[in-house]
Amino acid sequence: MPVAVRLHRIAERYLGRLGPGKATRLVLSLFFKAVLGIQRVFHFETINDLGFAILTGGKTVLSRTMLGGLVRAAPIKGVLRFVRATQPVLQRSDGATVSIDEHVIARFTRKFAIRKGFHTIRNKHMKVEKLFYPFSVGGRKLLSLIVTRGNGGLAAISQSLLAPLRRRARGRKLRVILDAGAALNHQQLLALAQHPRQVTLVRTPRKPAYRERWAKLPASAWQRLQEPGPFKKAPPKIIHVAETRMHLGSKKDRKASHAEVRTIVVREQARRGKERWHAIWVFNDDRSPAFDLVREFRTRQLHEQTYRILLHDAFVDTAPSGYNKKSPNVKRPGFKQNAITLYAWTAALAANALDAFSRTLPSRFLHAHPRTLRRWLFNVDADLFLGNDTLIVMLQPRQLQRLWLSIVRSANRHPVRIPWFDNRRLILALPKHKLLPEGAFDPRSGPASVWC
Amino acid sequence: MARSESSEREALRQSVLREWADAHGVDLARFDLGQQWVIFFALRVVMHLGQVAILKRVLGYFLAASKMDLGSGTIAAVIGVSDRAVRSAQALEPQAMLHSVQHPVGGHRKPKLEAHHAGVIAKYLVDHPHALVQDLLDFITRELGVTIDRLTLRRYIARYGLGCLRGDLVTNAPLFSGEPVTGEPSC
Repeated sequence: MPVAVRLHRIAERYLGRLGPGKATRLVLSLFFKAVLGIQRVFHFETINDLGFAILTGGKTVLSRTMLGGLVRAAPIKGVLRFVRATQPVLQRSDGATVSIDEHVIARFTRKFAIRKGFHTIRNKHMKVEKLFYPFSVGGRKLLSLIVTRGNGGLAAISQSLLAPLRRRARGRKLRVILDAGAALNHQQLLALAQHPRQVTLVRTPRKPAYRERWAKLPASAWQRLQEPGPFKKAPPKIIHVAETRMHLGSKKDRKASHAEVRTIVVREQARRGKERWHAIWVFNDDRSPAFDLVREFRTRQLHEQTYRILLHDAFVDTAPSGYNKKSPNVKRPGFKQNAITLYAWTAALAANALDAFSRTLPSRFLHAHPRTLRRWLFNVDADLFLGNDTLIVMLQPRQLQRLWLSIVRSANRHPVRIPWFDNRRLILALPKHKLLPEGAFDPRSGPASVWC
Repeated sequence: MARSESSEREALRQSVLREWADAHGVDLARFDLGQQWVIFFALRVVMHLGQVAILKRVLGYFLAASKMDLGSGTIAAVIGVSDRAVRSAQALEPQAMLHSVQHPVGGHRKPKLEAHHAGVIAKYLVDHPHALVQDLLDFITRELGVTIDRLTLRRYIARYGLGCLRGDLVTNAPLFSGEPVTGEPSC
């Protein structure tokens, strides 16, 4: 709730042009939509829930037409300022490792000739729009957002994302992890990576020529290592690691920048079939042991996992289109980034808030999946009482009584005031219950849902 | 030599006890000699401890546990706390006493009615709009196992916006929001 109150203040400040109270309604509707897992704006038409209405800043839930209209009407300058003002702080405890990657949203339009890009999951070149989020690996939070057409390149966008990130790191040496998409153009990659206060790890693109060159490395260059298998009783995984240097940039064009780059080649012994080869280009770090860098590179999986949460739990792919659907010129419909940026960024804020909330819970809920949090903690019946200066929410949890008691006590210690609800204090209450032993159970007796 | 010191100590005991008994209205005649020496010992220790309240509580706990039949009122008068505080401490197990010494509760005593009880009371007030104050007090005792007086109830109700006490009635009770709200949006 404190996050929502902060969003309300910032939204009123930067999106106030939408009209009195409308900025709050817009931002909170999008935020709680992502937190509670409402799939599309379309579903707002059928929500008749007073609690949800109060959470989103009104006495009734916004209609889908109203919400859709507000999202598209948000001024782009205000949206970008809102994004900047709500960016999380890159704290010292979060470390300085930042992963930058793209998330691709497919657009199924025959009418408009929008730019195409490669959709990795669908494994095809198609009409898309792209979201670029930098991600703090240590803090497990999305740091910012840039939205582009389908032809936006990871290297170019990373460069524009890294300048403010360096400022936010306050002099710390950034360690940047990039996927192979950043290595398509060597000139752009070198411009991005050759910064004195930055270590860059980039996945090397898979090319047959590279693979043939790595296969010629002498046997003495390879170091054999064992890793735990994928499950408890699995045999250990054997991997071989070697170091070499590769030339990036054009040798023919002397004016173009080029460099010899440290390359760590990893050959994973498969249980059956071919061996799996992959490699990492390392810029500005010749000291760290090769396998440590491989492990550091693997931490970008947390970024991919956050994208998975954004996609399947915050439903970021249902973001409004960036291209202008009312454009008379179907060959060049233009690109309006206000709606898609606001939608995708509030989804990211929701993902960050859920992870931060899971850190305040016992260890079994640490970094819990949003659906787990919803199932155990958010989908709880409640009665609402309006006091003179208070909103009393009497929750009716069926299990986890001790956890609920501690959550409620901690929330009531410094009650949040709800600015859009007559500045009332939010008091959480519990009915009188006996404390029962807390075993595993299905907290919902309603319709079956996906367990994660 | 030892005899003369003993007589001096005896004189000191009598003067200290008399002074203390006069100040606290205690009848010394009801204590035998052994009890009087224990009280004298305790008074001397308390004098030494000065303002260190925790050690005085520990001393009270020792006196209560000594089974010298001093009575909680006498112990309270010796260490300068309330009779009830001595009885509460007396009821503690040694481990619990040690814990309370190591982790003293700062500030106010924990209230009997906590914030999270407000929902139960609000629901009662909504269901019983013409409830008397005594009915509400009885309900709280019955439902929450807490006995409170009218003034405490008045403060609690004002703090959480549950209305106000006027005469025998609770007025301005909270509004009920309507139907019970399901946690899951109906989509």
